[in-house]
Amino acid sequence: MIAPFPLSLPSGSVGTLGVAFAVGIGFGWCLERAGLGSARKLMGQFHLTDLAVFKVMFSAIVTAMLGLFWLSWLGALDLGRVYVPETFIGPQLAGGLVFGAGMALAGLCPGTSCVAAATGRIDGLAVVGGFFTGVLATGLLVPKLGSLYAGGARGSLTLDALLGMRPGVMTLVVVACAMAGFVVAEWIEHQTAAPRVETES
Amino acid sequence: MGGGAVLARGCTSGQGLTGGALLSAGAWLFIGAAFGAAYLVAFVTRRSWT
Repeated sequence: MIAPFPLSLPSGSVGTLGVAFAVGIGFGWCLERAGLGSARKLMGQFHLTDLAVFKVMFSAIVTAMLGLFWLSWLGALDLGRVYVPETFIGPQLAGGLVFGAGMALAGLCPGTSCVAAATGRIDGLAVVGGFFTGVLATGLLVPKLGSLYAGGARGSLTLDALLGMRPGVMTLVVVACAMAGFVVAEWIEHQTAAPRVETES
Repeated sequence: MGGGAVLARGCTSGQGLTGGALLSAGAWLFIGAAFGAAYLVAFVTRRSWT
């Protein structure tokens, strides 16, 4: 029982596209139901009044990470066949800064902008348009960037390899960080919550 | 945002969630840079969101 569903299908086949379609529908539905189709929800994160985005993201990361860890430990999944996104220090640092600045201006990320557009929000449509314009323009510029685009290439570097830890220990550290992060997030929300107006009886 | 996603080889979902769960070092670098920049820009532009 190795790498059950999509990994055993050839890339780009009807099967993988079908799985991607179904997962995409589910992802979009969850984002919309969580209220993340609204730019105000994302801005709550950056104005520190509503940290739902942090909690959703870290929960998703921890869930997927633990799923991969335990499925691999039980022998149900061959982690060697799972592609780990490669590290390019320069472009990912620069890209992250540009991306984050855009995210704070738009109030949406690429995924939630699709959700916002699908629910008829004009700002969502504008962000989708701007996003694809940016992708196209940067894509055309990439050949001119030359070696800068591949600057600081480290291959499929993982945090546990970088820090010299065993994968299990690293997984535990991330879970511990998430737990501590959730407690701090709740505390911050409590501090920034609008003071409740006392009504006189 | 589109330009950043091309440079970083992924967005919040592709790098942030997927790469983060796979413990990719570059993904965590991307998350840190994106949130750092977003907090700075959100603070500077905070008056236009009321």
